[in-house]
Amino acid sequence: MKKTNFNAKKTANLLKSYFSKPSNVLLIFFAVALLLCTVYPIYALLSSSVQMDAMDSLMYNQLFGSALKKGDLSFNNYAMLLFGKYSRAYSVSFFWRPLWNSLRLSVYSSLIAVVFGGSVAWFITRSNIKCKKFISAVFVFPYIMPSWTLALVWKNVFANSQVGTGVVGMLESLTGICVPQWFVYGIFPCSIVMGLHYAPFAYILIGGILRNMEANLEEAAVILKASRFKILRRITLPIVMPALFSTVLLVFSSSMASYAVPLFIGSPGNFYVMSTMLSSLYNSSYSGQAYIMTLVLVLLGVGLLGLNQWFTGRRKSFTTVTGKSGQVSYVKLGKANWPITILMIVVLTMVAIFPIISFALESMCRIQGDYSDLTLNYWFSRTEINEYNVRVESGILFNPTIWKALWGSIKLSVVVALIVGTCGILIGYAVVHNRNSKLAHLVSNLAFFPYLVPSMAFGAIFLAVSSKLTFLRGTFSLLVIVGAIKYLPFASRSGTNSMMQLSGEIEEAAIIVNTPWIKRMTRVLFPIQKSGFISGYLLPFVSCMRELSLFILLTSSGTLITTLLSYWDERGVTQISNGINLLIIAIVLLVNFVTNKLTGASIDKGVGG
Amino acid sequence: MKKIVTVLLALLIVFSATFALCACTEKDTQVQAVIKEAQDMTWDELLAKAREEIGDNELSIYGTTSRVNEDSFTAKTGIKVKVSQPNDSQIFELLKNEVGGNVYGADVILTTDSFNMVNNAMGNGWVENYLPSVYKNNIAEGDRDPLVCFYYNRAFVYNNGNGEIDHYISNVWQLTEDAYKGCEVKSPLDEKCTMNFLITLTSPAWQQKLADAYKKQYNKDYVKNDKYENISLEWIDKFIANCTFVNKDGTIASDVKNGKAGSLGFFTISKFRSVKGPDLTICAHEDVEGFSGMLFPMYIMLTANAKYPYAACLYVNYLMGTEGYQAVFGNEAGAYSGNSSIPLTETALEDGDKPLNYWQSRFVVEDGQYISTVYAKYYTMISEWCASKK
Amino acid sequence: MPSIILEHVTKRFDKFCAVNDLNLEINDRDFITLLGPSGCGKTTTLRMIAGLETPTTGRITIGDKVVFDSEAGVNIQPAKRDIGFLFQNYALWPHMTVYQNIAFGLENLKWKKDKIRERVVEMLKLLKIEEFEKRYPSELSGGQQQRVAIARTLATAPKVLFMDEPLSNLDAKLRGEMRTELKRLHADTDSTVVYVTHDQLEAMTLATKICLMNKGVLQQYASPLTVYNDPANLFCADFVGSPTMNLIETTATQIDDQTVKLPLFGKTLNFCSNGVKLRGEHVYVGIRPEFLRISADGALEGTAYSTLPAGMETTVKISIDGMILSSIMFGAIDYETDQTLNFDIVGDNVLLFDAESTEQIAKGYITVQE
Repeated sequence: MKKTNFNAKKTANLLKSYFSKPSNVLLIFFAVALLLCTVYPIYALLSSSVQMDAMDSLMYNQLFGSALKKGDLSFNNYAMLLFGKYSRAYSVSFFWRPLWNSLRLSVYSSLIAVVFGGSVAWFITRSNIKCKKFISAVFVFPYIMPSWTLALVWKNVFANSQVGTGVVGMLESLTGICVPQWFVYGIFPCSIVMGLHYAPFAYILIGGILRNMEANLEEAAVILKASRFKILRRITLPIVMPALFSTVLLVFSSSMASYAVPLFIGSPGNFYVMSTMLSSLYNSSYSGQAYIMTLVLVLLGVGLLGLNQWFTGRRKSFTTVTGKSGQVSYVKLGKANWPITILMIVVLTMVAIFPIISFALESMCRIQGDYSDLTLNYWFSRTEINEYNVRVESGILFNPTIWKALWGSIKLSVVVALIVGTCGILIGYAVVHNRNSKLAHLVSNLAFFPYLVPSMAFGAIFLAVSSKLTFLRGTFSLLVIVGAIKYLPFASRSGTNSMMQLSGEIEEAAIIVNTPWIKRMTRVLFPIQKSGFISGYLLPFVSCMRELSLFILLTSSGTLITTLLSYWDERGVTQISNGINLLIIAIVLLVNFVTNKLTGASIDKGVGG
Repeated sequence: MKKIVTVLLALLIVFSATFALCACTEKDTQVQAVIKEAQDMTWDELLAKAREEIGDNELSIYGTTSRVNEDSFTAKTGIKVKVSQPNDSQIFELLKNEVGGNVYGADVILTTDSFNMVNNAMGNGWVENYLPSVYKNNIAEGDRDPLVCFYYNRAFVYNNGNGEIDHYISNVWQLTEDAYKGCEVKSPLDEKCTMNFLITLTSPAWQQKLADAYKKQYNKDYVKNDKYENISLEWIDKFIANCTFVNKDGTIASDVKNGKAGSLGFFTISKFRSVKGPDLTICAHEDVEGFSGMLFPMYIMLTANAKYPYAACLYVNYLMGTEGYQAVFGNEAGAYSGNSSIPLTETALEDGDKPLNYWQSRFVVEDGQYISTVYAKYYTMISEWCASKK
Repeated sequence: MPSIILEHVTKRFDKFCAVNDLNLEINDRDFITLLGPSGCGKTTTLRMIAGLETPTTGRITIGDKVVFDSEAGVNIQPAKRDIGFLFQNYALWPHMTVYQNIAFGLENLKWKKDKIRERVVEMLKLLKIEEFEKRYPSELSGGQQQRVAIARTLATAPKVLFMDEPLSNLDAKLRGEMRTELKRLHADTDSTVVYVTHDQLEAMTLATKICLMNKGVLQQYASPLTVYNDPANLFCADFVGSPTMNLIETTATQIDDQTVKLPLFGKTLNFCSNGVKLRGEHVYVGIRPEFLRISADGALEGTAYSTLPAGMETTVKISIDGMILSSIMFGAIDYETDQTLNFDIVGDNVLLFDAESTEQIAKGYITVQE
C-alpha cells in the first residue's frame, strides 16, 4: 500500500512538473484541439460518403432500382464515382480524368511558381538587378488579389478572332497575332496563371533562405574555382531545397483545391479538374460523391505533407543555414541587366498592376467595357443611382451597406488575425520548446492540416457542424472559428519560424530571474521578434479579407464585403463589384504598408520568416 | 435488475417519442393554422399580427439568390430581415438538419431547384405553402403549389454584326449543326436550371415539338436510332457537343456582344443592359421552330417549423405584390413575377423584354413535376456528356 | 548553506548519453569549473543543476532543498532554485536598455522603484559600466555586453552563480582581464560559482576545484593543483597542462614493491616509488615538460627537433628514439635544429599509468641504470 502511495505521488509529481512548463501545457492543448478539428472533418467526410442521405438514396433508387432509405450504409457513391457502376465514362470523366488533370495542373503550376518565384528571389537577393524595391514590393500583389483576376487578364490579353466568339484581345489588336485555342483555354493557361498567382510563395520562401544563407558558402565555392552554374547546382540549390519543397507543398495543395481559375479559363476548353467537379457534385444530388472527392483531395495533401516531412527530415542539417550574411557580393548581370529588369517589370505590370487599373476603369464605365464613357458617379454619388444596369442607393464611398459590410469584414479579419496570430505564436513556442518530441511534430503537422482541406469543403463541413450546434448557426463566432482554423497553418508556420530564430538562452535568462510566463512572452519574446510575429498576424488578416468561398455558406450577403461583392457580381453590376474589389485590394495594401512602416512586419515575412 | 433497466429504457423511449411527436405535430399545425388564417387577411391585419409576433427579432430567410436581400421590406413594415445565401443543395441539407431535427433555422426559403423542392422538401413535409388569396386569381394554377415567386429566363442571343445578319437561327436543330458551333452556355454541371431545362426537354410533349421542328428543318421524319433513347436526347447530346461552357452570364453577354457577327450565347436578357448596343438580337423575336430559350421558377415557401409564421406570410405577400417585385428587380428585364397582374416596366420593355406569356409560348418552361420522375436517369446521363465533352 | 549535491545524475538524448551517472558535491563558496572537451556533457550538467534541462534519472540537491529527484518526481522550476546564470552569448534582451536589462529581474521580485534604481546603480558601478546605462546591447562592445550580463546576473544576489563559457566570445586580452574580475567578484560576493569551460588554463586559474569530464563521465574532481600533479588517468594528464604532458608508451617489469624497470631510449630506466604494483606490463610514463631538464651532463641524449621561445620560457621539442618530447626551460634559449641535447628526468612527480585501464598507478622518480 505504501508503495502504491509512493508511486501515485511520484506520478502526481511528474505530472505536476510536466505541466508546470507552459510549453507542455500548450502543446497538449493544441494537440487535443487540433486533433478534434482534424479528426472530426475526416470523420464527417467518411461517414457522409457511405451513409445515404435522402437525396442520395432517391437518386440511386431511381438509377439502379434499389430500395435504399435515408441513413442506410452503401458503397454506391464509391462504386459509381470510382469504379464505373453507372458507366465507365462517368467514372472517368467525373473522377479519374479530373484527378489526372489536377495532378498535372498542380505539378505544372508548382514548377512555374518555383522557377519564376525562385529566380526572382535569386535576382533580388543575389544579383545587381535594377529596381529591386519595386519588383519585390509588387511581386506579392498577385497573392493579395483573387486568383481569377489573373485568369481574366489572361483572357483579355490573348482572346482573338480565331477563338470562341472572336472577341479581339490586347495581343491581337496590338500585333495581329492570333494564338491558338489551347493557349487561351485549357491546362496551359491554367498552369501559367496559377503558377504566377502562387509564385509569391516561392519568392518569399526561397528568398528567405537565400537572404539568410551565408554568402561565404557560395564564396568558398568561387575560390575553389567552381563555375557559376556549378555553384547554383551544387551549393545553392541543395541549400534551398527544403524551401523549394515547402513551396511545392504549398503551391501543389493550393492548386489542387483551386476552383476559380480552372472554372474561368479551363471549362471553356473542356478542361476539368477535381475542384470544378467537386463543386458540381456538391451542388448536384450526388453530394456523397463530392465527399469522396474531398477526401481524396485531403488524402493527397496529407501524403504530400508526409513526403515533405520525410524529405526535410532527412536533410535536417540544411535547414539550419541561418545567420545573416554580412557581405553579399552581387552577381553582375552586365549587359543583360536592363533587359531582364524590363522584362520583369513588364510581366509584373501585367500580373499585378494591370488588374488593379482595370478594376478601377471598370468601376467607372457607364457601359461595361466601354472606356469612352467614364464617370466617378459610382464612387462618389450621395444619392440614388438608377441608370443602365446599375441601381444602388448611393455611390460606393457613401453607401452605408458597403460600409457596414466592410466594417464586418475588417472586424472579422482583425479578430481572426488576433486569435490565429496568437495561437501561431503559442504553437511555435510549444513546438520549438519540445523540438524533438513526437507530440511537437504531430502538432506542427496538424496545424498545417486545414490548409489541405479545400475552402469549399471546409465551409460545407462547418455548415453541417453548425446546423447541429445551433447556438453557433449564423453567428459571428462561427465565422471567427472557421476563419481561425483555416488560417492557422500560416500563423503557426510563421510563429514557429520566428521562435526558431530566438536562441533559447534569451528566454532562459528571463526564467532565471523569476519572470512569470506571461511576462516572458509579452515583455521578452514578443518584442524581440516583433516583426516576425506581427507578420504572422498580417497574413491571416489579408487572407480573411479577401476570402469568399469559405464564408459564403455561413453568413448572409450583407455581413462581409466579399459576400456583398458576390451579391453585386451576381446582379451583373460590374461597376460596383469591381469597385468593391478595388476597395478590398486597396485596404489590404494599405494595412500591409502601414504595418510595414510601423513595425517592419510584412506579408512576405509571414510565410518566410 | 436487468429487467428493470429494460423497462425503464423502454418507458424512456416511448415517453420521448410521444413527446417529440406531440411537439412536432403541435408545431406543424401551428404553422399550418397561421397560414390558413393568413390567407384571407388583409395586408394591414397581417402586418399587425406579424409585428406583434416578431417584435424586435429578425425574420430569417434562406435564398439561393442574394437579390431578395432588400431593406425595402424592413422600411415598409419595420420588420427586420436576415437573408442567408446557401446554394440549392445546401438549402435542402439545412432543411434536413433543421426542420428534420426540429431546430429553428429559417422562416422562409427561396429556391430554384424544383427536383429537390418537390421530392425532398415537400415530400418530407419540411415546407408549407402559403398562397395569399388576394393574388390567387392572378397566379397560374400550376404555379400555386409550390408557389412560384418569380420566373427567370435564358434566351438564345446572337451578334447581328450591326444589322449585317438577321434571322440567324430559324430552327432549334441548327444549334446542333457544325456551322453554329461555339454557342456559349453556362454549364449544366454548374447550374441546376440549365440542367433542369435539358431534362424538361425529354418530356413526351417536347419530344413531339422537337420532332416537328426536325421535319421542318430537314424535310424528313426523325427516325429513332440505336444511339439515343429518344429525339430529345439526340438534340441534347449534339447541342452539348456543339457549345462552349462559360461560367458567367455577364461574360457570355459581353463575349457575344464583342465577338464576331454570328456569335451565339444563351443568357438572361437582363444582361442586355450592361452590354447595351444595337448588335444583339434575341432569337425569340424572329420566331424559331422548336424553342428559343428557357424559363425557370423561383419558389417561395415557409418552413414547417417557422418561428414567425405571420411575418413569413407577410414577407411572401410582400414579394408577390407589385411593390415587392419592383423592390427586388426594379427596371430589370428577364425576371417575371408569378403574379401576372404585375406589369413589366417601360425600361424593361425598351430592352426587348416581353411579358411572361410571350416567353411561355416560345421557351421551354421548367416542369418540376415531370423532372422529379426522371431526374436521376437524365441528370446522370447529361452530366456524363457534359463532363466527357472534348 | 547552499552546497550542491548531484547523485547518480544521468541525461540521455534518445540513445546518446550526455551525462552518465554523475556524482558530485559542491561546497559552499566553492568556485567549481566543469572542464572537458566539447561534447563532454559539461554544459548539460550545468543546465541540469540550473533546472534548464531535466535529467533522465538522478537527484540534485541545492542547499537543503531537493530540486530534482527522478524517483520522487520532484522537479523545481529554475526560478525557484535561487540561482544566477551567465550565458555564453550573454542573452541580453536586445529591445531593452542596459538599465532595463539589469532591472528586469528585480522588477520580478516586486522591488520598489527606488530600491531597484539603487541596486542597478550599484551594479553598474561594480562592473564599471555606469556610462552605458541608457544604451542598447547592440551599441556595446563584446566586453561591455559581458559586463552587463554579469551585472544582470548579480543584481538579484543569487546564492549560486552558474556560468556557461562566459568568456569564450572575448579576445585573449579581454578574457584575461575578465578572469581577474570574475575571481575578484567571487571573493566579494561570497557566492558559490559553477563555471563551464573547455579552456584548461581558465579552469586552472579560476577554480577552487576542477570537475574534469569526458564523454559524459566524471574523470577527476579535485583542486587544480591535484589535477595537475596527480591526474587520475591518462585523459586528465593529457587534458590539463600546456604544453601537454609527455606520455611515453612502453613495457614495464616489476622489480620489487618500490621499483619498476622500464626499457626506454635504448637504456634501462628504473621507476622508483614508495609503492608500485603493475597491473599489466603495458604502461605509459607521464613526465611534465618541466621535469625534462636539458643540461650538458644529462644522462639521456636526443636532438633538438625545434625550439619555441616565448620570452619568459622556452619550449624545446626533443627528438629521441623516434619520439618527440617537450621540455620547458626558463628564459629564452635557442638551440639549432638537430643539435645534440643531453637531458635528465628530474623531480619526484613522474607518473605511471596502466595502459589498459588508463588509470594512474604510481607517482615517483626515474633513475637511469648505467
